[in-house]
Amino acid sequence: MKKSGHVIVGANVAAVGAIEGIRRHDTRSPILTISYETLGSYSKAMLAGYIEGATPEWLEYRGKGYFERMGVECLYGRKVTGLELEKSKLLIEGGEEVGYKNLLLAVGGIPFKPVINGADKKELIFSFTEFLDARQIRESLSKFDSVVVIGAGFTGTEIAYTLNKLNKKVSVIELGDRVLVKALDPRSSGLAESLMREEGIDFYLNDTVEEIEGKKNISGVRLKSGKSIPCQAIITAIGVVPNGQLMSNTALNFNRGLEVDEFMRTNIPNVYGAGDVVKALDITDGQKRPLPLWPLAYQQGIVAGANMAGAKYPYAGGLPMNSLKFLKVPILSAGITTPPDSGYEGIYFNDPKGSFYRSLVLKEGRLKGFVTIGAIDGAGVLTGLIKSQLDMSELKEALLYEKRIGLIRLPREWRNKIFTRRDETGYHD
Amino acid sequence: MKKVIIVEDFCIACYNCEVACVATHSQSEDPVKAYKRENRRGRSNTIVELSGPVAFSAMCRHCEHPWCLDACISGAIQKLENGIVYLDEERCVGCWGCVLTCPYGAAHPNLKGKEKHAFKCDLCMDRLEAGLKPACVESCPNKALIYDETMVEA
Repeated sequence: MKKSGHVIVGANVAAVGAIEGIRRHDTRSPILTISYETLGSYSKAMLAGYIEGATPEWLEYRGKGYFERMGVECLYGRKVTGLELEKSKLLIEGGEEVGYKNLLLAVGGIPFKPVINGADKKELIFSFTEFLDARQIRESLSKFDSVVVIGAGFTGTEIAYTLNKLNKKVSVIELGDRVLVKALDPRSSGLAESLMREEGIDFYLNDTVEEIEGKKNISGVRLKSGKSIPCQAIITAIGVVPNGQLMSNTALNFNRGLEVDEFMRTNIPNVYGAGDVVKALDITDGQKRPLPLWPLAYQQGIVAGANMAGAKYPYAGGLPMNSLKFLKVPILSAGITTPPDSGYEGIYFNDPKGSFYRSLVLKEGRLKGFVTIGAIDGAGVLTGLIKSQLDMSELKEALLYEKRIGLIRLPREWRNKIFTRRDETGYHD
Repeated sequence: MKKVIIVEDFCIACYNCEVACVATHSQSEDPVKAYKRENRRGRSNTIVELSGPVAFSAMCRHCEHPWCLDACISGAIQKLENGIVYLDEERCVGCWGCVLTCPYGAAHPNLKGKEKHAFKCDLCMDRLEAGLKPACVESCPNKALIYDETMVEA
């Protein structure tokens, strides 16, 4: 049986965070990462760029030689098939066993795939969450001119935008009444939709695909509303859910997400979790939920790694954050963007010159979330205010109207601490 | 300590720091050419903020644990061994993750023209290696920006 000190299942951003967390406290123990993906470690957030023609090497965001430099052994293209937690070992496809001292499950999320009539045995139906998906889409680009994207969330709109850029006729079908419902408030959602419509993308809201038409090849989709849309390919982008494949029939607490404590430890003492697979603290409401977002996966990885290496280092929690990086006009959002009840105050400003839009959600004078379109410099100051919960009731107009949000609106004492002394970003492990 | 100390009571909002920053990070290293020929206006890594009697110039704090790095999807942002948080503009894909997460508003988006990337203070590391102080510090006429590596974080 192969043995390693710290074993990580998964090789993407949470795993990279963990490697960095482990190496801060333990420079010697062997680390092993195992991933079923042959490309191993790459930036999932840049897959649209790969479809547009970038090389796989471009996706390797830590660069060549990173794992070697960090003293990490990699097993890529190998699927972990089972866990034997009481013996601290796992099984790999082909029968090989690997023993571990500490295990990190950074197995990510899996796309939620709807069951649609007529989908059987048809080619050119894709998801868009991992490299293999992106490669299949890229290799099939010559086989379709028109495509239906199911789902108008972040992934759906990004792939729609990308394929539209590559001269495909793109129609997006969304069950909800607006696009990007999780990331944006209704007004900014409308602005985002018109930005994409201007590029030539069609949207069908409050609708869903009932049936995929065509005998051998896809010829179109029939919607619940009765409309028919001709298309040759379909991409499903309804969302990702935590990947619980390995956890079934084990003692691990997995309930629509892997349960972890503040140290990213599961109910099994030498097993940790990080990234899209876990339910972790959302500071906007204090609940634990899956938040499949890049920076959070990385931070959870660092925390898990540090604790695997013997530190006692809590996760500070995260919040929803989105950057619609693909649009011509940048849109950033964080926290709660639509007031959920009358206890919250929603204010917005639409610059009459049309150059920028901003909306804020506050509760008792404290910022809970925002959307900013067009003017994004300093947006992180707003994100910081959601974290620090400083009372901004006197200053909310400034935060709303000023194009660039500066530190000058923050309390002098808070500001001077970071001007002259240590940083206040937390994570002082 | 590897960061510029900002003393807001001393700032007179002369904007010398911004001009010095733009110049030193330009091809020509000349302020006039940088603004007039190289289109570097608005590319200062430090930003003067002014409101009534309050003024200061603020730039990257080179955090121990940078939020911007956590959010960087391309690997453009790195924490170098010397402690400097460095953003490689060539590798940046303009996802604005750093802009969204820096609580000090110190990572800036370049939205001009086709070059879509973020930019931030690099602590003038070339100048430091040459034994000089960061350009903004050197240009400040009233010691509102200080650089002293021997100072210890409190």
